[in-house]
Amino acid sequence: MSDTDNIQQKIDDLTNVLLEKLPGQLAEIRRLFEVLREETSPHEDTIENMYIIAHKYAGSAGSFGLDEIGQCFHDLEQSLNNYSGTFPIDMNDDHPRQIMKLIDTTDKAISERLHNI
Amino acid sequence: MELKTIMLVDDEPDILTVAELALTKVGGFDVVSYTSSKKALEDVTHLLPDLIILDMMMPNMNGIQTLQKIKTIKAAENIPVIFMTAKVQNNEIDDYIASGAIGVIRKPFDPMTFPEKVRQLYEGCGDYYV
Repeated sequence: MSDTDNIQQKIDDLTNVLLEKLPGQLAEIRRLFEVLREETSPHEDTIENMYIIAHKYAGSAGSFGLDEIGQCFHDLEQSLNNYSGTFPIDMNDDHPRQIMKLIDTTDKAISERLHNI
Repeated sequence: MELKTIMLVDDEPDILTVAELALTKVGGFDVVSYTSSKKALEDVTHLLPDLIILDMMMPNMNGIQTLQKIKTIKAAENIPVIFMTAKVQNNEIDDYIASGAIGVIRKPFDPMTFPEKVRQLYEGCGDYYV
């Protein structure tokens, strides 16, 4: 095995470790989203925590070659960063529905990639 | 001066692992990694690396704040600094350069080409945002 193959193998191993973390991280984003629907909660902190997770995996997933998943997290990060709606969120509004859709899209991208391991 | 030793600071362990692997195995550099700016600042005068790579978005102290601290340390004030950051606006990149960084590497990055980008920024070749 050449040095390049050896390095690529190590990157592939690290990618699989990262990939296995992603469902749990997305589940945390989904849980926090549900918190935003509650009447009383520190909404700004909650959306900030969702943003931090999305930002983190937008950078790391892409660097491990998980481009589609990285893009999904990036889109989610942007949507959370630009959130200007009311709290608690109202699922009849466009922006919360968009966030929910982006979470679902990210979930699907992760599931498809996990099935291909 | 030839680039040999790099101090790498990122609070995200996955990124740190792949960046360190790329810089050491692909680039052939000596790398010392930190998940905390505070600890990196404590060690910088002892290590005196040829280059420091800082993640921009870190808790407690972000990349620019860390760079500002480095500039106050006499022995380390001239060590070149590169920021790593996710997609940002051009005006933000200009602000990063104005703060004293020699370049900015966008995340995500390709581990196989990452070391060459670092070398080019260090040597002042090409664009400062790669």
